[in-house]
Amino acid sequence: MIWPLIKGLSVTFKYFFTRPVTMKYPEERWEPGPRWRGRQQLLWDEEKGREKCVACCLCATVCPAQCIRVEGAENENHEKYPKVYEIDLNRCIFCGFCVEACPVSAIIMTGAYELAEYERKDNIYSKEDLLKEPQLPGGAEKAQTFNLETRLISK
Amino acid sequence: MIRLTVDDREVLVEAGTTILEAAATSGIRIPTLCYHEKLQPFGACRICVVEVEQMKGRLIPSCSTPVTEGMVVRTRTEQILKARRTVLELLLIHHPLDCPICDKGGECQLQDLVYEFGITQNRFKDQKSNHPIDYVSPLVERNTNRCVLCGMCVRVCDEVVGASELSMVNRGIRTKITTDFDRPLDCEFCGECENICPVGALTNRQFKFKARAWEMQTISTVCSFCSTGCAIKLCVKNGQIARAVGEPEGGANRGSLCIKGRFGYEYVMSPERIKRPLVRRNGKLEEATWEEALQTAARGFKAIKEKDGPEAIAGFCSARLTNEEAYLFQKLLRTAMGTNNVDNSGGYAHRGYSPGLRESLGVSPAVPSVEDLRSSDAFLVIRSNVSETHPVVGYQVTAAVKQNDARLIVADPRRVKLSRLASVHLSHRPGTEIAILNGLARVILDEGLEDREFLAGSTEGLQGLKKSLEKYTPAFVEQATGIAGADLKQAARLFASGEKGVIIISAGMGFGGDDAALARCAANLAQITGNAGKPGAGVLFLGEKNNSHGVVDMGAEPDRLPGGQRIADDAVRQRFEKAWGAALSSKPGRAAEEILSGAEQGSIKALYCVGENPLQTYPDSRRTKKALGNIAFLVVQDLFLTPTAQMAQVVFPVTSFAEKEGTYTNCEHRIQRLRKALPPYGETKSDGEIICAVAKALGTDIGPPAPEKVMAEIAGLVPRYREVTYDKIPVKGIMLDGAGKNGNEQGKSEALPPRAQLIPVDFVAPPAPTAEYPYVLLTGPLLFHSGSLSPRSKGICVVCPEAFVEIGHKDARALDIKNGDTVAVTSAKGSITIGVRVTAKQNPGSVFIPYHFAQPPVHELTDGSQPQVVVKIEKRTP
Ligand code: SF4
Ligand code: SF4
Ligand code: SF4
Ligand code: SF4
Ligand code: SF4
Ligand code: FES
Repeated sequence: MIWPLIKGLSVTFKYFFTRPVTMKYPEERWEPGPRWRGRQQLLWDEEKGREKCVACCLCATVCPAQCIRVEGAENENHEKYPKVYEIDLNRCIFCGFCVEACPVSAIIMTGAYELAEYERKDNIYSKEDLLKEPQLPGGAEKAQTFNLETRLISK
Repeated sequence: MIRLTVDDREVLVEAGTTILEAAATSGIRIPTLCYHEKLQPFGACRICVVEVEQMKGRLIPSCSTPVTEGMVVRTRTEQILKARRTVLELLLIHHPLDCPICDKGGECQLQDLVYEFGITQNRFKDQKSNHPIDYVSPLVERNTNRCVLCGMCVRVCDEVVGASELSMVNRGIRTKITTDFDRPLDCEFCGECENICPVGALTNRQFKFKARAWEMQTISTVCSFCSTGCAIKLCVKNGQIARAVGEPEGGANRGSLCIKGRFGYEYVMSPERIKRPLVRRNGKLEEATWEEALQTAARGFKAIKEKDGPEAIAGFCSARLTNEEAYLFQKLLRTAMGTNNVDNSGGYAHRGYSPGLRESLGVSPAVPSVEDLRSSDAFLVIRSNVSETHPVVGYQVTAAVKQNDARLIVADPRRVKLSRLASVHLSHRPGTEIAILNGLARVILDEGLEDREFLAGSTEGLQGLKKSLEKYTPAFVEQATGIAGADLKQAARLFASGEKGVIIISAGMGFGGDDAALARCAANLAQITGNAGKPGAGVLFLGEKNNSHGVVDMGAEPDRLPGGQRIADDAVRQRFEKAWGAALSSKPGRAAEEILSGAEQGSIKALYCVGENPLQTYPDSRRTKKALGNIAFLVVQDLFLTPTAQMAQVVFPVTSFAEKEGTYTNCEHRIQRLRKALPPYGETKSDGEIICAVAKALGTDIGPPAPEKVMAEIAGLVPRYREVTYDKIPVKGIMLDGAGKNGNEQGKSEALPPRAQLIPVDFVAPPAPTAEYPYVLLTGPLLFHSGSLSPRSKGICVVCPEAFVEIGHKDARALDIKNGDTVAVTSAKGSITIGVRVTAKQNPGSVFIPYHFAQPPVHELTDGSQPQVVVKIEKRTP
């Protein structure tokens, strides 16, 4: 009768001497791993002075949650650019398909995982929002990002 | 018949079939890049190669090799696949492969083939092609870097469209598709080249970067412009039309479109459209609720009916209404309002060919179908600039001439596009067409070229006709029309020698002789040459607007009930009275012209204008303005606040063709369905819904506006439509009785003679130019526009933004006028100021002004009682 009690408590006491797995969030913050898929970022092409995205709509087409809206248009250099690029993060399932589908590597996934907002509409990211590098949660200077290269290495 | 084996399957086909077509009949697909059923085989791409047992040692292009007896064909051996892969690799050497930004991506044949053959790398390497991209040409963008040199654009523009704008220049790998001296396109802008291009080398500029092929919803419907009734697909993304393409299943057009159909839909999304009903309060039109507008309309009509009787009310409807709406409209006027004063635009400005054709050929004459025109071998195009008014019918004529060597006779006072292809161009004085037709008939009878068997078996009145033609000797015709006797004779012989001859006439030319008489004359000539009752032969009369033929069938005429049945006929009237549960007046109503003169004299007090804009589109606009100003109660129903709508007491906003359902009947009497692609704009309602609501406000029930219900009612009352079931109308439409079929099936409802009538018609000379007014004014349509609707479409206005007067070189020199000058054109009725285009199209003595534009108002010059007017021209600016 006492034996099972000791057995149980021994497990409890064993954990007194191991490192805790939980973290004192938000005082402490977890550092995302190299293949972490947080909110997307659209990349800027410094050379051409424009967004890398060419509004091919492949990300929007492949997105299983159908949360990406892209509307293409012609810029003054007759190039195709996304007049509207919107991701509804309320619906995004962070699968990373958009990153895989992009033929010009214009979209990556960052370490940003703190995405709670008071209102749903604030979680619909516009092109301007997505072009900004996200504020990363404490710790990491710059989180690893999920892009085509990291995906390939991990394979 | 020829028997051959394709991939171990026995195939039996006609001689002259190609291997590709033979394989297709047994369901074997051979990939192609440069083949199109509309075009002659070309054999440029070599994707379609096959092996033929009898021609061992080399690969045979299947698209351009005819079958022979006992051929043994293989379409997918290892060697063939290897050859196809190599062809694709060679094509990809210079190809930019910018699929992500290419508007053809997703529907590109090169993409599909590369995917099908699994080409992931290329054994050959070279620089990517680097031609400059043409961003200047309107509507069509050229990026020849993506071109695979299939030649389809060049061929469709030449063989079908007849514009011959594009060609291949240079040789070998430096070949490219361009115009002479690499200038921007200056053509018809039909977009056929862009549509046929298998890759993204030619693309639709209006559609540029708007959507990817797979993102759009496509809705098959009917073009809203001319009576060819091309089936189109509207591609919709986010509640906006992104583009329009031809529906390959379409009946009349088989996927072809003209500029209006392809680029002209934009008026639907114009911000100028009326959103809410308008009611005049204290002299100003102000927005109102539907309830208020309907009640105001009903009160106004009721007051006038009580005070001045039903005869003081009249109605105009546009030939752009659907069949159901036109039917409801005349039912509303005839039952709820109790008047027969109802007419459509076709009945006014052009006096309607239909009465003429009806007398000669019966209520539902056999009409050659547009598709069959390709098999016809002789054409007489008279008083019809068909390449501009009905471009897709023009394509068929062009294809018949270019691909099948058909004979073409064009009678036109202007040098029009088809004149270039014609064996004979009869350049006559405007308004003398009847003399030409009579002259042709006389030459044919004199030389014994007539079809005697047909005349004896199927017609009546030959003796009377012969007698009436006595005076039309070539000499008389020459004096009346200005056409040399030798030309007339040659034309007569050419036309009579055809097996399947077609006479094409069209409404909406806006000038010239009496249409009903011309129609009778044309019918006579067709009967004399035996061109009736066989496919691809007869008289093809082209109404101006998309439903010109339908609204006439639906009884939007003062003296006829639906189906062309006479209102004065007691039996007919009783049948309708029973069906409608209302007493009908037996007195034929007033036609449009009489309605306007009635308004002038004060006997017409109320007018209901559905989709009509008489102020801009009817002759003699000063008089029209006066007449409309006299009308105490004017109700207008339209998409835009037109000049007529601005005079109204009540304006109802309507939905456009893309926002409603219904049916249209085209020039070959094919009934086709409109399908809704967009939600109604603002608070608009369809014409049918409004008409029914007005009836209800007047306290009468004319039935629900739902098209399927209305069509069921029509089918019960109009013999020609008896087999039409709304829900069963396929994408390619249904040919109504008599249309495109063998035999001259007569209307069954009316006691009509069993035979076609040869009715003599005499020629009356049109008003001749005088010393004061030395030029004949021709008003008419342009290729780029249709009615007064298309100037509201942006894309079309890039190509053709404003009105002009066309003057021939000789007259221009005499008047010392240059291109771009401004002149005053003055007739006995009025005067307008307008820019000049000096052109070789125009003969001395006549000038031309298109009638689509609101400014300057060309109808201030015209005169409703005269087929054409004479004008003088004075230079305004240096
Ligand atoms: S796949 Fe890439 S280029 Fe295409 S729309 Fe998405 S982010 Fe832009
Ligand atoms: S033409 Fe076809 S293959 Fe070439 S870039 Fe466009 S979509 Fe891609
Ligand atoms: S738009 Fe029509 S007319 Fe112009 S080049 Fe193309 S096919 Fe020819
Ligand atoms: S432009 Fe298009 S249609 Fe014309 S040859 Fe090139 S690929 Fe063919
Ligand atoms: S305007 Fe006439 S010819 Fe042109 S696409 Fe429309 S229906 Fe066809
Ligand atoms: S399809 Fe036969 S050669 Fe191009």
